[in-house]
Amino acid sequence: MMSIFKRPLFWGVGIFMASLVSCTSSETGNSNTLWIYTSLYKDTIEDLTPRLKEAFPGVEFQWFQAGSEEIATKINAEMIAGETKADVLISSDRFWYEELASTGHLHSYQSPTAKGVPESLKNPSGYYSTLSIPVMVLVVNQEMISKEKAPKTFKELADPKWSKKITSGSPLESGTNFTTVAMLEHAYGWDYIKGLRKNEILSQGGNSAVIRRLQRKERPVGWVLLENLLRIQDTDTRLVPLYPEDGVVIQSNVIAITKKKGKRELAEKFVDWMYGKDGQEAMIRSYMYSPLEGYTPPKGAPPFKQIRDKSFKWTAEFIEGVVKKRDEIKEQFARIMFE
Amino acid sequence: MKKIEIKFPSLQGPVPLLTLGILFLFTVCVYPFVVLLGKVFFSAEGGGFSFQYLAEILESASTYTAILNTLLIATGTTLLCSFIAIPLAWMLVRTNLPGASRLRSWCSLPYAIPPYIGAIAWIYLANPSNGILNLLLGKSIFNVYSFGGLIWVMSSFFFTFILLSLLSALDRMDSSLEEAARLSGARPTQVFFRITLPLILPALISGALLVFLASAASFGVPALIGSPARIFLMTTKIYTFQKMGSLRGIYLAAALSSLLLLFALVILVLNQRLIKKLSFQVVSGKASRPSLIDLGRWKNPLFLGILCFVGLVLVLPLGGILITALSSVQGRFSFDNFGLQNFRNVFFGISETPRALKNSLILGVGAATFATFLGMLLSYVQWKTKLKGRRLLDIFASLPYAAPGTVVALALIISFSGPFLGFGPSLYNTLWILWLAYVIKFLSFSIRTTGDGFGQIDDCLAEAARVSGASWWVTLKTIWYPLMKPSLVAAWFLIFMPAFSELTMTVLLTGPGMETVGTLLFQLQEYADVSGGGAAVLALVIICAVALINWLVKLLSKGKYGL
Repeated sequence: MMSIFKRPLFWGVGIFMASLVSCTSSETGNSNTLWIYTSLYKDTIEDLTPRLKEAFPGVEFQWFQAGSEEIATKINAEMIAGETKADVLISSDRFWYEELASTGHLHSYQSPTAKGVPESLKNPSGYYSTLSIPVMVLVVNQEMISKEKAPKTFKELADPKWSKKITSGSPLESGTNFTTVAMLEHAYGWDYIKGLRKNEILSQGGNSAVIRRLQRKERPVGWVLLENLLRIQDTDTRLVPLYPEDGVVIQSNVIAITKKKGKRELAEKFVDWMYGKDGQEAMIRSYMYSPLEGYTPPKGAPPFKQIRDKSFKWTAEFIEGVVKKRDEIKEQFARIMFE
Repeated sequence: MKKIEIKFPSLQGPVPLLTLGILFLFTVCVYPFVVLLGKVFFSAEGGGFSFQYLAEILESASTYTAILNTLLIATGTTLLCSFIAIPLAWMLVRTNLPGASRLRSWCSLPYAIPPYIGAIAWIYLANPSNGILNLLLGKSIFNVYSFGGLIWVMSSFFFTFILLSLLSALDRMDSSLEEAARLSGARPTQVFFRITLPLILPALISGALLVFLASAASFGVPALIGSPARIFLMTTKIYTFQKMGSLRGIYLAAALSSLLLLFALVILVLNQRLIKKLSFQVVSGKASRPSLIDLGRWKNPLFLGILCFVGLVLVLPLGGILITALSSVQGRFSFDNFGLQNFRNVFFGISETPRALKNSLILGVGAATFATFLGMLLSYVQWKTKLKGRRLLDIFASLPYAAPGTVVALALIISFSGPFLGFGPSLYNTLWILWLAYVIKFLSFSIRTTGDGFGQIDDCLAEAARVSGASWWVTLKTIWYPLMKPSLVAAWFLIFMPAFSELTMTVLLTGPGMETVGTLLFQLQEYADVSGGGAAVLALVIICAVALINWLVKLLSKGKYGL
C-alpha cells in the first residue's frame, strides 16, 4: 500500500488539489462585498471598475458576467436551492424581471437619481427600472444590396421579395430577439411570422451570430442590435444600420435589487450611482442610450428622440400579455419555424 | 488447462479505496440528479408529488417530433462514425500502412476542435448561399443545413470516440488468433469479419454508445445547424425551455431531460446485456507482436484515401478556422485584411487570457487524471469483483454524460450552492465546482475505455500474480496498469480535450476570477470581439495545446503511448 506514495500519479493529484485550493477565492465572506450578476459587456465592467473603486472605497464588487439567459438560469437555480447569491441584477430580459417581481423576489426601490426614467420603462411599483436602452434595428450588407434598395420596414420583410435574403437571431435562444418577435407579432399578427418563415428567414443564435452571417454574406439583410453595429462601425463599413419606418424595437437593459439579506443599503447606493453621470456615461460608451434626459446618444447613433418617436410602443397591456403568453409565443414560433 | 479456482470475496482489493470511489460516484453523479428530479416532481402548483411538468411535455405534439428526430440523428451519427472508424482503426494498427503513427495522431485531433467552433467552420465551408466549397465548385452542391449536414458535422468530431476505443482494443489484443486464421488460409477480409471484428465488438459497442449518447445530448452543433435546417431536436426543446428564463422553464427543461435520461438508461441496460454476451478475454500473458498485413498494391491508394479523410475532417475545418483567425474583418477577401491582429487581441488585449489558460489547464489535467483513475477503479469493481449491483455503477456514471450540459450545471447549482453535503464549505464560486462538473460529465469515457480493457484481460494473469503472492497494488502495477496503458491514455485524452474548452456547463458555474478557455470562448463569440476572429484564435490555441501534450506524452513514452 505504501508504494502508492512513490507513484507520480499520487503526487500529481496532490499538487493539483493544492493548486485548486490556492485558486479558490476566500473573499466571499467579506461583509463589504456586493455581488452583481450582469449581462453587461466585459469592457463595460472594466470601464466601471476604477470609477466604482473611487466612489465606493472599501467595497468589493464581484461580477458574474454572462448572457441574460444564463443569468436567468443561474438565478432560478439558486432560488430553487434556497437563496440567490446576487445582490443586484443587470440584464436585458424585462419579462423575466416582471416574473421575479410578481413572485416576490425583488426589493422595491425608487432611486432618486432615476426619477427621470419614463414610466413606460420601469415597473410601477419600483421593482426594477431601465438602466440603459439597446435598440433593435434593420441591417444591410452594402456589398450585396445597396442601402437604397434595402428594406424600409420590418413589415416588408414578410414580402416574397425578400425570400432567402433575411437573417435574425432566434427568439428561442436570445432575449432581445424574443422581445422583437413578440413586438412584431403583437403589431402584425402570426401571419407576418408565417411570411418570414415562407421567406426562409435564417433565425439562429444571438446578435453576434447575425453579424457573422452578414459579414460572411450568407444573407444580405437582417435585424440586429444597434450596439453590435456601432461596435464595428469603424472597422467594417459594409454593414450599416437602417432605421425602419414602422419603428425600431426598443429593448430594456434592466437593473433590480434582489431580496437577498444584508446588503440592501449598499445595493441601493450602487443603483443611485449607476443612474448618476459616471454610470450613465459608461452605458453610452457601451453604445446604449441613456433612459434619462440630457445625455448624448452613443457614438454614431441618431438622437434618442428620433428613435423613440418611431418605435413600437411598450404598453402595459403588451407587457402583461407577453408575461402571460411567453411559452405560447415561443411554442407557436417554433411550430411555424420548424415546420 | 484447468482453471485454478479461487474464491473471490464480493469486493476484492483495497476495500477502503474502492468504497470511497463508489461513495464519490453516488454523492456527485447520482445525488444532484435525484435532487433535481425531486424538485421537478415535488414543485408543481399545489405542492406534493405530481407529474405535472412531465405530463405537459408529453401532451405537446412537438415532443414526439423531437424524440423521433433525435433518434434519427443519433442513429445516423453512430452508424456513420462506426463506418468511418472501423476500417480506419484496422488499417492504422494491423497493416503496413505508411506513416501509420502520424496518421493516428492526425485522425484523433479533430475532437480537440471545440465542436461549436468546428460547426461554424463547416457553415463557412458548406452553407448553401455562399459556402466556400460551393463557391469553388461554381454551384450550390453542399448544404450543411440538412439532416445529412448535421450528421456529417457531428460525425466529423465524434468518430474519434470509436476510433480511440478501437485503437486501444486492437493494441491490446493478442494477434495470434488472427495469425492462426491467416495461416489456415483465410483471406484478410475473412480474418477481419470472422476473428477481428467479433473480438473488438465490445470496444466498438462502447464507442458507439458514447457517440449515440453524445449526439443525443449535444447542444451546440444542433443549435447552429439544426435550427436553420428546421430539424427540431430534444435538445433544441430543452434549450428553448431553459432559455425561457422562468422557473417553469427550468422545471420543464429538467422534466424533458429526465425523458432523455430514461431513453439513455434503456440503451445502457441493453448495452450491458449485449456486452456481457460478447466479451472475450483475449489478452493473455504471452507477448505478442502483431505481424502486419501487407496491403500490397492497395497500400498507396489507401494511404492517399486516409490522407484525404484527414484533409476533410481536420485540414478543411482548420483552414476555415485559420482564415477566420487571420481576418481582421470577417468575410472580406483582400490581402491587407489578413494579419495577426486577432492573435494580438486575444493574447495581449484581453487581460484574463493567461489566467483562463492556466485555469483550464489545471482543470483539464486535474479532471482528466482523476476521472481516469476513478473510472479505472469503478471498472475494476464492475469487471473483476463480484459485488452485488456492480453493473449499476456504469449506468449511474453515464447519467451526467447522457444529460445535456446545462441540466448537469443546474443540478450542480441546486445541490452544491449551499454547504457541501450540508456541513462542509461551499464549493460554489470556487474552481472545485468546475472540476467536479468535468469529472462527472466525462467519467463515462474512462469507465467505457477501461471497462473494455478489463473485459479483455484474462483473469488468469491476475490469478497467477496473486498465487505468486502479489498484493493488489503489485498486481495493479505489474499486470493491469501495463496492459491497460493504451486505454488509460485514450481515456485521459478523451476527457482532457472536451474539459479543456468546455463551455455549456462552465458558463453557468463560473464565478469571479474563475475564467476558463470556455468562458473566454463564450465572451469572444458573444461580443468582446469586434472582428469576430477571437474565438477562432482560441480554437487554434486549444488544438495546439492538445497536440503539444500528445507530443510530450509520445516523447516521454518513446512513442509507445499517446494519440
